[in-house]
Amino acid sequence: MADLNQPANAWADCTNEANGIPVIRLRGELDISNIAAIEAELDPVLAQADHGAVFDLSALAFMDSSGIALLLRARERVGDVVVRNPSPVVHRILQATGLIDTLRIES
Amino acid sequence: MTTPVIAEATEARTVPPPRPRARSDDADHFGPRRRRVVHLSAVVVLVVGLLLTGILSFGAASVHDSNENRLLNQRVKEASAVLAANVPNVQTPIATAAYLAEATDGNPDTFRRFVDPIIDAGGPFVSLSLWHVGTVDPKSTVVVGAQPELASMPAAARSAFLTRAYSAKTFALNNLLNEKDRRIGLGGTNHASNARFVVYGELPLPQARRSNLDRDSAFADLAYALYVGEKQSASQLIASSAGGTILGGRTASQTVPYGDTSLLLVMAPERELGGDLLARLPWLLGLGGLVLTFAAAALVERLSRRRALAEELADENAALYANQRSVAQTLQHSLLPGEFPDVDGIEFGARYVAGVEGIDIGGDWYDAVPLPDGRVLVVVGDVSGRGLPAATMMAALRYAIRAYAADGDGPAEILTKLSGLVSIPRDGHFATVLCAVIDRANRTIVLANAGHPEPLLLGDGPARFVTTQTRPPIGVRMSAPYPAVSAPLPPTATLLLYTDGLIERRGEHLDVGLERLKGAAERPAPSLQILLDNVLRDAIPRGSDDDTALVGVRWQT
Repeated sequence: MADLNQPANAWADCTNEANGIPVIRLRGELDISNIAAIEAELDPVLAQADHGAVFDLSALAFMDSSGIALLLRARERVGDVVVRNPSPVVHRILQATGLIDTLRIES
Repeated sequence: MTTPVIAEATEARTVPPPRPRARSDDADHFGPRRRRVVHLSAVVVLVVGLLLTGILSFGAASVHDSNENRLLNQRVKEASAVLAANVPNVQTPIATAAYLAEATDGNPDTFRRFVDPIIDAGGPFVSLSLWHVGTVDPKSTVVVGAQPELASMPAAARSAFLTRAYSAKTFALNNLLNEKDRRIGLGGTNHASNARFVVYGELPLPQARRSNLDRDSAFADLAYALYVGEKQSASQLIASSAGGTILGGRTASQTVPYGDTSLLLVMAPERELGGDLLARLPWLLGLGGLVLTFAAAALVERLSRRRALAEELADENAALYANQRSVAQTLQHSLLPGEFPDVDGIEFGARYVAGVEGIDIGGDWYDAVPLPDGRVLVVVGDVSGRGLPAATMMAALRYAIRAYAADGDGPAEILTKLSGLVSIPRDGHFATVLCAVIDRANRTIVLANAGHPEPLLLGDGPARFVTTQTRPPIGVRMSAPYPAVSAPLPPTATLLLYTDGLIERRGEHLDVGLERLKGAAERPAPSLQILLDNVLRDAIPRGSDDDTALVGVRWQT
C-alpha cells in the first residue's frame, strides 16, 4: 500500500553468478510509485537471462502487489525465479499470496 | 435487499497537479468579456511611460533652452567686445586731431593734412571738421569731406552739443539717426582744461537701417540690432541685420560704452547655437518615449491576456480533472454490484473506498450471486495495477465467474477456469480472487482462494481467519487445479471478505494488520452496517492510495 506522504525508494543492482544466472539485489521499498522505474532498469538484465534469475530480497523492507507482479512477470520471462533471503515482512506477504512454492524461496 | 455503500475516501491529500493541455495561440480562446477590457497593469505602464517621457522631454527641452541662452550670452559678449575694441578707431583720430589743433592753434592746413588721408581712406568718417569753441555761436573753421549736419542744426542745439563735446571725457555723440542722411556725429577735445577746439566727425549709417554681417563673420549665425542708448527703440536704431524690426524670440543684449553715452547691442540666434541634435533631443525623446511607452503597454497587455488565458486554462484543466475523476469513479461504481441479491436469511453489506490517487480506477471488486437451493456465492477479488486495463480485466473476471457459477461450477472449478482466462505475459497483470459458497441448508461453506487474504469469520467464539489453502493468484502459470476447502458453517455468524487495502501498510508486518482487523471486527456493533463502519474506520490509514473493498455476509438461523 503506497503511503503518499512518504514516497518509496528502491534500488536494484545486479551481479552474475558463475553459471550465468543474474543475481538481482533489490533494496528499499517497492510499491506502485517506483515499480515502473525499477522494472525498466531490470529489463536489459532479464532480456539476457534465459535460465532464470535470482532475486536477493535481503535488503528489501517492503513489497506490495506491484512488487509481486514484477516477480511474476520476471518468472514468466526467464522461466524460473528464486527469491533469496526475503525479510519476514516480505516472506509473509508472499505466503499470504500463495506464492511460497511458485517462487522458490531460499532463506 | 441491501444496497452496498460505496464510500469516497475523505482523507485528503493534495490532488496532483493536472497535466496542462497544450496551449494554442489562437486568439479565439479569448472570451468576449476579456477582449474589451484593458488590464490595469497595461494602463499603469502607459501612464508611467507617458509621464516619464514627458518629464524626460521637458528636461531635455529645459537643458537645451538654458544651453542656448548661455551660448547666446557668450556670443553677445564676444560681439560687444569686438564692438568696444573698435571704439578707438573713431576716438583716436578725433583726439589726435584735437591735440594737433591745440598745438598748432587751429592751423587749418595742419588739420587738413592730418584728416585728408582719413577721409580719403573711405571710413569710418565721412566728414571731419574743426570747431573753435569759446564764442557764443561757434562755427567750423575747417571742413574736410562732406558738410557736417552739425552745421545745419539750429544754433541752440549745436551749441548744446559743442558744450557737451567740450566737457566730454572721451567724446560726445550727436544723434543724427533721424535726419535725411542718417549719421552719427562724434565730437571731442584734447581733454586739456584750457582746450579751445573741438574736432567733430560724422559717420554714415545705412539708409535702410539694414546692414548684414559678412557671411564669414564669426557672428554670421546671429541677427543683431544696434541702438543708441539703453533701450530697444525704433528711433534709436543704428543698424540691424533685420532692417528696422525689433528682434524677437530669444535675445541677449549688452551695453557698450560709447563716448559719453552707450550703445545697446541686441542679438538673436538664427540657428541652433548648441547644435541641431540638442534642439531635436526633446522631440526625439518625446517620440521615442511615446513609441516605447505604447510598445511596453501593448506588451504588458498582451502578457496580461496570456496570463489570464493561462489561468483560465488552468482552471479549466482543474475542472476537467475533477470531472474525469468523478467519471472514473462513476465507471468504477457501475462495475460494482448495485444491489445485493435477496436471499432468505442472509444479510449483505459492503463498503468500497476508492483510493485517493488520481483518476485511475483500481481493480478491486466484489460480487454476490444467488445459487439454487438457497445457496449464495460470494466473491472478492483484486486485479493488480490500475487504470483501464485493470478495470477491464476485473469486469471480465466478474462476469466469467457469474457465468461459471450459473453453469453450476463450485469455487474451485471457477478459479481453475479463471486461470485459463488470464496470463501474466499477455496481460501483464494478475488477480487475487476468493470464492466462497455459503450453504445454509447443509451448514457448510466451501471456499477456494487464489492468492487472496483469508476471510474473517465472526461467529461463536472469537473472530478467526478461515484457513483456505491459498494457491497462487489467477494468471500465474500453474500445473495443479485449485483445491476446495470445506468448513462447517456456524448457525449464526458473519463472514467478512476484503481486499489487501484493509490490512496492508508499508513498513508493517502483515500479521499486525490482520490483528488490527480482528480487533476492529470484535468491537461490539449492533448491526452489520455498523460493524462494517467500525472495521473501515479502524483499519484504513489516512492518505492511502490503495482501493479497499469490504463485504460482510451475515446469516442467522
